[in-house]
Amino acid sequence: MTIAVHLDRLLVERKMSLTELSERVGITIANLSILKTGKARAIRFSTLEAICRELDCQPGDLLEYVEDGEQPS
Amino acid sequence: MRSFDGVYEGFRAPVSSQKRSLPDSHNPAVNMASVRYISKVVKALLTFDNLIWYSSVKYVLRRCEEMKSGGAKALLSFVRVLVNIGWYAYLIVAVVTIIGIPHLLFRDYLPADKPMPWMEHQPGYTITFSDAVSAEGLASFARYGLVLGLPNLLIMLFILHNLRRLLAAGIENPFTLENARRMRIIGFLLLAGVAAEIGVNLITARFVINNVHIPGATIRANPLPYRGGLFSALLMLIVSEVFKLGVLLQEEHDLTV
Repeated sequence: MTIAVHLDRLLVERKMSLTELSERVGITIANLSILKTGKARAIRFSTLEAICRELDCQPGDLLEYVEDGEQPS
Repeated sequence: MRSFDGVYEGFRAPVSSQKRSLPDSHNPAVNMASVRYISKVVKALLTFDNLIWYSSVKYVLRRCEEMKSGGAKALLSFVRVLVNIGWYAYLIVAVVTIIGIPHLLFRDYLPADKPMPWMEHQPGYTITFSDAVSAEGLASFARYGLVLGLPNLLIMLFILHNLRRLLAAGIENPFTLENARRMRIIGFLLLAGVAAEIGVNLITARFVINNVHIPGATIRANPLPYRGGLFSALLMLIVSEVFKLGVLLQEEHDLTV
């Protein structure tokens, strides 16, 4: 996996649960779990926008490009 | 060897009945009575036929009304009922045929020593069989005809089986590899049916050309099957490939957040 998703870290920093985020952005918990566990194959701009708005962050805070073999920061 | 005179006489029946009915046609009174009788029977049959048509059209229309409100699900249940009826009908026919085939194969239905007068002199034309074909030969061909029909019967049974499974999967999430596979199997079964049809046509044509002689006429064989079969087989194979693509798209869609 070359794109790391830092959703769990952001949630801890904002002291927000996955359920609360799913209610705020209007995405099912199942879909957010797919994103959190890194199984997602694509992310819609609308989803990215809603998550960034609710977590008050930039897309770069949520997603990170990782070279193969390296550890994500 | 057992001889079945009933069968033998049965073939001759049209000729004798024709002779008997000839004088009757010159009598107008008998004619009118029979015409009235026949018209009565036809009317009754037509009424019965209309009744069946009327009620079946009403049934289909009612189902259509349900489909309008119920959408694809109601349509699916309707098709399911049709396929199930077809499946059980074919199953019964297949079981009866498979049980019946050994019975037919090891039994003599026509006596070998009697000639076949029923075909030879009909008014207007003459058909002769070559010396090679005896009554027994013809009977054995009829038996083999039953065996020739068996592949198509089994193919149809397999197609209906796969169709039932396909419909049982439902339409909530149709794009699965299982469904695509079943469609591909149905496509290949349809192709096999076309191949079987060509084989049966060739064997039948060979028999007819070798054994039936109509003076002044040449018999040519056309072993090509009904084109629609090939068309629907190819269509099914294409649809199964499209379904495979659908599976990929569905997966992509499911993993997009």
